[in-house]
Amino acid sequence: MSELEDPAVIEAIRGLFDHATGVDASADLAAFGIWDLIRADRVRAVQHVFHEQGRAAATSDMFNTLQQSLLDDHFPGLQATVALNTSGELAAPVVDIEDSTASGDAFAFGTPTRLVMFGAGAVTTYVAVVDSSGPGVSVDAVRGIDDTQLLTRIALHQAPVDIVALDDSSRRWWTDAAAWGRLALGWELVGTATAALTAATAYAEARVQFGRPIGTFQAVQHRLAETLVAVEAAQAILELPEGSVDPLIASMAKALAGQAYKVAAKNCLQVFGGIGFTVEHPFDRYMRRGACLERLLGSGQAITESLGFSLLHTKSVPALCGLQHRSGSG
Amino acid sequence: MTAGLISSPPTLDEFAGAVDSWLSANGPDLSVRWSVSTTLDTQMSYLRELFAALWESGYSRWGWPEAADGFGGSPLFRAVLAEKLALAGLAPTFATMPEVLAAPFAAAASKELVSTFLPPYLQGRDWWCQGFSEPDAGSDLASLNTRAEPSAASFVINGQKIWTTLADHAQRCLLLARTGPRERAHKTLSLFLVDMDTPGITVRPITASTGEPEFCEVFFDNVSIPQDRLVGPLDGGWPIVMHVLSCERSTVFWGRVAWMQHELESLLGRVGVTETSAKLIGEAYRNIMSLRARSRRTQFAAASGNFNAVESSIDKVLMATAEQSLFDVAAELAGDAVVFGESPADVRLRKNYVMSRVASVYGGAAEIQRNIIAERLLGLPRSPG
Repeated sequence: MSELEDPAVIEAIRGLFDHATGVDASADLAAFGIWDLIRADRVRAVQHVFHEQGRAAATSDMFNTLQQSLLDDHFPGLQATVALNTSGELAAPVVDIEDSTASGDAFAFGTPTRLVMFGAGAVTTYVAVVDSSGPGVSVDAVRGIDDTQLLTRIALHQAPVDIVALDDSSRRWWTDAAAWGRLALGWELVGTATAALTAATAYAEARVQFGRPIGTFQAVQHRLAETLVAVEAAQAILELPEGSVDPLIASMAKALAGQAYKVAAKNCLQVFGGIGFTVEHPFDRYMRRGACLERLLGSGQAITESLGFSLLHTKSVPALCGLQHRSGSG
Repeated sequence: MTAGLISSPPTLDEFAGAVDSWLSANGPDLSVRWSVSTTLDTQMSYLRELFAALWESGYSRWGWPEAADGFGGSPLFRAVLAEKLALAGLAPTFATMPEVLAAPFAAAASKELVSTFLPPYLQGRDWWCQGFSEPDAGSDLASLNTRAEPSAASFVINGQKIWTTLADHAQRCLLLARTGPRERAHKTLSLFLVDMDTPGITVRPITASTGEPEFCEVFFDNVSIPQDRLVGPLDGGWPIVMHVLSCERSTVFWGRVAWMQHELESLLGRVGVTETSAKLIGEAYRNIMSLRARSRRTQFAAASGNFNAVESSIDKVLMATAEQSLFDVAAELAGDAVVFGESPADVRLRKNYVMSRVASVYGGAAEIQRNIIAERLLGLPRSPG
């Protein structure tokens, strides 16, 4: 049995984020031994850490830690931060690479010293590594909608790069990196949606208008019920991976988690009314954090359209999951 | 193959493989017969033959209790069989009705009732209908008025049911009737298994917007039934009905979602590749897969006896959303076929489109599901009145 099936361990991970609301939990996660947990049971480590991180709207280096564990599998010895795009297409390049120089924009969590990126030329795909203090590289904190120093924007202009892998091996890594990244972002999005729903539900029970809690009005009840349905739908997909992560499941999970976030953001604000529309209220932070996570590695809408193209081209409807292939079910 | 299946319980994998083999041997013939079954009458005849063949082969006996002549084992066998038939496009959607009626019946009824009445149902010799809704008791089911008065060795039933799916094809009716004061709402309701040929029963089919008599009104005028047709305890019908409704809102959807996958695949052959079609097809696929993943979890929970019936309201909302989204997309991308088409495939697509409109009504309206989710799952205070 994995350590991460022990409710006490899951509770402890939640505890790490209890005091981390809005702050960085990296040091606490490291002290907790998160690296060993990722090595031992990556699926559950991703589930619990990102879910709790989302619920707390906290930050940490967990995304980069997860990606480093994948780099260790694919390219032993390579230490770098993964560059992210906002595309629903798996093969879309972060950068264009010519003559071992890279140009283009990418995002990364934290402030990277070395950046690893997937790139595509006219006929080849690459894995390229660039030193972020090198020529042609500028690194800036992203303010945007969430100015908690969550992300950096890396602008490359003919920056010299080391090519560490080509073609099949580069695609294998990026398929893996994107799938695990989407699963992680999906759990974090569902965490933000769940936290917003929990807070809005409590508010609906406490806020009295017309002499009764607003949670007794069906119009309010149904908005919150719809939000729970969206959260549960996303969570059902997010819980499918066992041991490894199928790229199609990860894409669908990210799309549904993005949908859950959008449904929660819309309905919960409506329940909060004006108080939810101030920076003094926690909802504001969930709304901003979710908006960032929703964009990375493909918005729900972009992924959904990409899946639609795939179905139309193959004329088939992949089933994603079945009843007979499940560990322990016979 | 059949003998091998009977001698020892198969794994779910072995079972699925055996069903696949059976389908590759029998599928082509079934497909021809299904394709010409264009009315409810002919579809019902087809389904009865299909049930008989599946029982004969042994495959549909797995997952049903031995008291019902089944082979026992996990209900997941039933789910896999329903999935395989639907994915192959070889079963009407109402083929999964026994999942709604027979499974709770097997759990609640006496051994005598189960061994007498379930085998003919599962073998396709009998068909059952669900006598719950009344003209004045729809969403508010516990206010129903049909009465069953005890009299000597019988109950005498008077009243009216409506929206009774396929009652004109049914030999039995699982009937919910009042056996005590109406003021006590759901605490004076009892469940009965009634023979549809009992004197005093009148069935009037209602033509639905699909153009077919999907459901009926059923009138009970001094209908006398033996006392041993009481299912479960006197005044104890409500918990069984809740079980029936939770099945209608959950376990039955594993077959339903496979049918949606099949219909989506059919639609792919009808539409061109554009950004609009990719967006719409992607959305329908996303909705269908969210139901599938949710339904998978429900199947495992139900099979291990850990299913909370209240949770089924989420499955029901996802089901109505997925089905309506699928046929909304069909109407958008293949609108001429849906609205004007005359080929058998067009007519079937149109009926499916029209039928999908009411997916958010039957089995408990979407609004009732959202009330249940809000009050029972989120814990919001009850709305007054």
